[in-house]
Amino acid sequence: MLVMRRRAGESFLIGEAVEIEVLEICGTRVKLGIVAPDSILIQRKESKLTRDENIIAARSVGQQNISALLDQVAHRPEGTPVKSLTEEPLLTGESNSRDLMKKH
Amino acid sequence: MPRIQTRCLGEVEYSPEAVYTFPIGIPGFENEHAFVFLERPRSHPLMFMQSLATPELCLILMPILAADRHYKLHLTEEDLEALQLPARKQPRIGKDILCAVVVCAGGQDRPDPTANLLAPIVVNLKQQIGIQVIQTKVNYSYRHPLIARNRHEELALCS
Repeated sequence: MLVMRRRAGESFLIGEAVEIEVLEICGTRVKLGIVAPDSILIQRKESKLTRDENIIAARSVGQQNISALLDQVAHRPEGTPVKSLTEEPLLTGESNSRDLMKKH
Repeated sequence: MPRIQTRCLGEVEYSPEAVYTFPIGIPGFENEHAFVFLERPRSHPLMFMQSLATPELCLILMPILAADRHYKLHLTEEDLEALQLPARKQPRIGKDILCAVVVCAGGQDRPDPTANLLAPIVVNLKQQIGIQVIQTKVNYSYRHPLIARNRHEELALCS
């Protein structure tokens, strides 16, 4: 990893088209200004990780995986009973298939 | 009563009052703005966060304290505003907000189930508005294993 020291007000370039300026340093936080072409997506790393995780998680939802997950998580023998976090019903209204939804 | 096709539970009826709005969607699904939360007794404590617009889109959620009973949620002022919660006051989990993590059920991409503790789904129960909050103050894993590793080791020893 390239390490570079910069003060507030100084900047550096990545390639020809991307400029990053250190605008302000306050304690443990640093404010950066970024100039880049529209074609370059700029996002926080955590956002990218979360986006990728959401897509993988959505893809993982299949009947077989859910059964396995239930065996491992929902009925794990060493787990203490978990109280539901909602004290209000998440779903109001009746359902045709009664076992589908549970009221709290 | 309107009905929707769901990814996991077939066709279900839902009450329009049970629809939760995600004004900016969630990362990866920015155009999904309406979800219902479905539960089955057998699946407790897991919940299904089903998209109203896209039958194939369903995420499995787990209440955050079930994934990590010592979890500390910190909402920034921007988060509070997005959720239409009072400023400068952390909401109570279970009373003011629902807080749950997205579970990756395992499968081809990843053998063991994990949960994203870095970015819980937080819902204002009163206003029925939700966002996915990315925690920046704390160092939680986005691939938190849901099965204790030592259990695997035990199983390996037994076999």
